[in-house]
Amino acid sequence: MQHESFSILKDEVATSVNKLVNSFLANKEYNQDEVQNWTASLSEDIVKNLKSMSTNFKFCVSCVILQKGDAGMHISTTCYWDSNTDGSVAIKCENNSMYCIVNIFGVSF
Amino acid sequence: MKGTNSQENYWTRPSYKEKFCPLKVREIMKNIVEPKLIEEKYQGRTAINQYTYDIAESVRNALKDEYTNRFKIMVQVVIGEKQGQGVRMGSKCFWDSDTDNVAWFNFMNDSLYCVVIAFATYLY
Repeated sequence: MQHESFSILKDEVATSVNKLVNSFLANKEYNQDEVQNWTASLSEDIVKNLKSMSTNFKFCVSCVILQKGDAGMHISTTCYWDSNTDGSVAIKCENNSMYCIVNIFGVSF
Repeated sequence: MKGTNSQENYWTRPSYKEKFCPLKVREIMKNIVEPKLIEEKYQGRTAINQYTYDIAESVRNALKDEYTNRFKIMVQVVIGEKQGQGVRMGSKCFWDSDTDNVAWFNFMNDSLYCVVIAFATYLY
């Protein structure tokens, strides 16, 4: 069975998700009550966008929003998959009050 | 037909024993993260960088041993410093909810917080 490789989609995913996240964050100020809804709705928008790009993959999207300040943060990911067909993309964006890091995993099935 | 060999069947769903069990996986993550981080302080870039990588690797290897059969595993580890600022993490997935699942574990001590999240997708 021929499996499509995620690397074909990678650039398209990176540019479109970058645009999505930047426009989502554009005018927003970090607000503790609302950020809960933002991570959920941003992840959902990204998944809908990815669904339209390819039906051969299962997607997992993880979104972290961090308020700007003095604190440091590290993120690591590891995966157990078939590297010929599966892949991941990491998107980093920021605005005046917060950072947003999105990790997208695409696995074929 | 009598005596059909059940090993010749190709299953497109995991049996109930093979299913990805988030509670069990949480225990596994807890046993890896707590001993490592319980006494630690967030200091410098290099030390914590290595910890995120080590924890991610250990969790992935433990899950690989636990779910050898036909699951693809993705693990993400976030370690951040506690300075009073706000942080929020969310995730959404597009998959088959009968076979695929997610497990996460949060840990905090006085100077840092750690979030481990593992996604598992079934290979048909």
